[in-house]
Amino acid sequence: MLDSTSHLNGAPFLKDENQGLYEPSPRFKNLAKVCEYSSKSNTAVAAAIPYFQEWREAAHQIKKYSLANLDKLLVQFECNMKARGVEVLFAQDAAEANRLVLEIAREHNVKSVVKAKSMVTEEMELNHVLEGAGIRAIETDLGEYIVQLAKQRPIHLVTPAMHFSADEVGQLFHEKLGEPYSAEHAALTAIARKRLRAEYLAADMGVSGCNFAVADSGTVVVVENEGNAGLSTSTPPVHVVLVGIEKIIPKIDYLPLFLNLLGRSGTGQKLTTYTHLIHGPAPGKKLYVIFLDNGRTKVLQDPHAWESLFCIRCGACLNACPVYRRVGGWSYGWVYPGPIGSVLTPHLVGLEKAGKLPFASSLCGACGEVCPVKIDLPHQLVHLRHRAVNEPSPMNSTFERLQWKLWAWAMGGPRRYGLAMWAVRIGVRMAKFLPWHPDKLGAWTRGRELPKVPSHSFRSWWQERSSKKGKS
Amino acid sequence: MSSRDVILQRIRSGLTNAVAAGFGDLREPPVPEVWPRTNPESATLVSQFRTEMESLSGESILCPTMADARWQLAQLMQTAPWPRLGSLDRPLTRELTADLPVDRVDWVTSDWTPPQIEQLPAGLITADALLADTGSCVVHCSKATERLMCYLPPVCVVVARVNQLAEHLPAAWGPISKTCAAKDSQGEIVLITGPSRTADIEKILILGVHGPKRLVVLLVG
Amino acid sequence: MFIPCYIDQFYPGIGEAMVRILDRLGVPVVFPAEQTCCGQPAFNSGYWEESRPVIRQFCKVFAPYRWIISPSGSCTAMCRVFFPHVDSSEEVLTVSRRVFEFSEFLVDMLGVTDTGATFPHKVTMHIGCHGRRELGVFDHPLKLLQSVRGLTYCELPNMEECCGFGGTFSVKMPGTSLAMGQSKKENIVRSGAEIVVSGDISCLMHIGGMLKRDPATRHIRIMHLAEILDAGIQPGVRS
Repeated sequence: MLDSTSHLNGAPFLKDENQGLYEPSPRFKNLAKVCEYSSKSNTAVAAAIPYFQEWREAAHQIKKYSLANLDKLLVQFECNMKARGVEVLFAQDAAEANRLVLEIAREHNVKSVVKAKSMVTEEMELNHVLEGAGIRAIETDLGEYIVQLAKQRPIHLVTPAMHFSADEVGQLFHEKLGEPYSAEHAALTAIARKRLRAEYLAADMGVSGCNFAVADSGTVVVVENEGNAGLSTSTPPVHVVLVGIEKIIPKIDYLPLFLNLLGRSGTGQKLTTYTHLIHGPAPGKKLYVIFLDNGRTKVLQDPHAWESLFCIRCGACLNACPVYRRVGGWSYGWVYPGPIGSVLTPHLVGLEKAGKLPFASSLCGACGEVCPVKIDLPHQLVHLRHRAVNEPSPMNSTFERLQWKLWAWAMGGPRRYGLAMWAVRIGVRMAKFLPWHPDKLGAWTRGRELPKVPSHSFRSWWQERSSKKGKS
Repeated sequence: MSSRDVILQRIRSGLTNAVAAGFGDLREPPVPEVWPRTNPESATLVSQFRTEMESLSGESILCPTMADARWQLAQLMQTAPWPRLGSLDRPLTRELTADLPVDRVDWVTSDWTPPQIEQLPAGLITADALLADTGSCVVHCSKATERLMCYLPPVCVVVARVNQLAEHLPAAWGPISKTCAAKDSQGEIVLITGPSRTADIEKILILGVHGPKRLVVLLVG
Repeated sequence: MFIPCYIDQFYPGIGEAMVRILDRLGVPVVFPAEQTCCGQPAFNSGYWEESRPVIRQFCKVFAPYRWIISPSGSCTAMCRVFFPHVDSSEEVLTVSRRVFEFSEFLVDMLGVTDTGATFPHKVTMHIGCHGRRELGVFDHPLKLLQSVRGLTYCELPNMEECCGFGGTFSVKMPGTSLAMGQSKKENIVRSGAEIVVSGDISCLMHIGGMLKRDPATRHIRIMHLAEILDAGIQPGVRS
């Protein structure tokens, strides 16, 4: 998959995985059930709070303001953190971020790294890079630990191993770790706890992401339930934070709002078990914060696309999406699945590679309805569709454009319209005599009957009625 | 030009488009209230805190006096059993452990190593504030050992006074905000809301995956 | 009236029912015969430039009218919400604002929740996503349905989930579209209804097509809300 020169460049876009978008797999039956349950209960939680809609609007405005002042806020954050002895670095792309991490690892003679969950490090494929340099990289979030052992990509933003049954985890732990087989959840969790404790205590460096980087106070905010982020970042002597530039918020006083939104939208919790507000290194420890661009500044060139950078990575849109529920995370080909993935991936990886993603949606709008920062995801999707057919991308098709031009011509007036509809009616009537249905017709009749063609159209009924009544 | 400057420049050029498109000149949004202040009575706060903790599978013990608290701690140590208790050195923890035999309490100082802390059967810490609406403990940890005491021992015991209870996070926010903004702050403030948990396998909830399996709050007063 | 092409050609009865209902309510109805389409299929496919002349034609045809009513949530959403994305000229914006979905017009503009209909059947309701989420049309069709005499309302489980039609989505991503439709079909069966009604016959073409394909569900009929609201009216009854 990765050749020796490209291994630094971050996660490749796996185009072939997109096939999964078109044909849902029965293996995701559990995923669908779990997502549906999560979405329903989280919606109920939100509905019970009278202020929830106000919160969403306030968060939306704050995120907008943050982006509008992004350069100033980054500098402010940097200044405040530096004053506490934190090293703040900037990486233009995944390759540079990987190089920076390797440099830090070399400087501190790092042999093993414990990692808390971070989507940005997935963009970088940091684990591969570290392994390539002879450094052990261990994912500590239980779900990430499982998919790492299985050498798979995560299936979901918040529950990475949702597609694994307990039996499958038991077999995995038995095969890869030599542990006695068990399909009991408590026993499996205990195995992970035992193994990972040893890793925490031996690790030379901890890597985490960052949910919010607060500019005015200089604070790195990390939320989690397992305690793995707390341990990964406090046991080793060095802690490296990887964070996207868009995660900045201006004021610490905005934090209670975001914490109240994030827990509930992500997992239906009031607050996650551990909410870390990190000011700087503890005495004797070293803290680095690396900001990653990796295509985010490109998004800022288009004011209509800004909203996609508001995302706080809660996963609510995934749970709500009827498409994601059935096709799972891998089909999106890159780091971010679901509706936000269909928007962010084309922006960050380019429409040329990911142009199909915005079309993998019925535009039902369930995602936009649940987004805690009110990203209008359906509007972002149609906006990207427009770009995809006009810029270099797999969806830019001269043939299709001609078809739509012809269609627009047919819709140009009542007579042309009448002609086109006459042809359609004939086609539908004849369809049952055809031995095989081509292309779009076949795509319809694959699972559905065609509608009956009635004896008259509405227009003809109206004409008759009008002439009877003497009206026009 | 450094990457820092390249990125900042790219941001600035992107933002000029925004100004042209009418997105510029936004005023700093006001700090939203989030939750209204209703200033409930102490008894209400205690009850709410305890209910929340229970729903999180945490344990809370109400001790009307310090003597009660000492007795409760002794009971905990006997029942578990914990041959010894590791504790951070604070006035409140000193008070709480005053009548325990000297060899039953290990005072965790900043030179303790992670493996040493990991060996403790239980750890005792204090909270800087408690949040009633979420059942949370607000803990300031400037030293590494203070952070580790929250996560490493399999049981985390928190001792706090009833008058440290706040209605919700906004009500307790003042001191938190101040510490975050202070130039000489080190380490972290952590909001601990129940014992460690995961639902990563089939969405079945399991406690104590990495952090403590048991969280016990001794509420004094 | 704005009668979408698929209703004009395949379900004229819906338009006819709408005319009769509005007639009874004393609303003067006109059908401008030069109308063709709102442009949604091209728009949703990203071909906005190609949809522009169709949108302009629409706005030209409907410019003289104060109220433009359509028995389709998705077509109405295209007009009211998405026209401005393609063309923000005054001519387009003026018309765009005046387009209303049929049930929303009855309830919000006319204050009518009872059309005097009788329909003694077991009916479940599917609410199209564009109507629900882009227009906020959710209570309106339910209120109207629940006023129909003799009707047994069967609640549809997981009502808020998309049926999988999504316009061209149904033929561009048929596997996923059918999987979503399958869930909707199962929920319809669970509701115990004999008839599925919606304010969007486009969704029902897909759902109905699947119901018809399966011998076990072939008996379940699809109907548009307007047809039910026009059913069993006693002569002389005014609501």
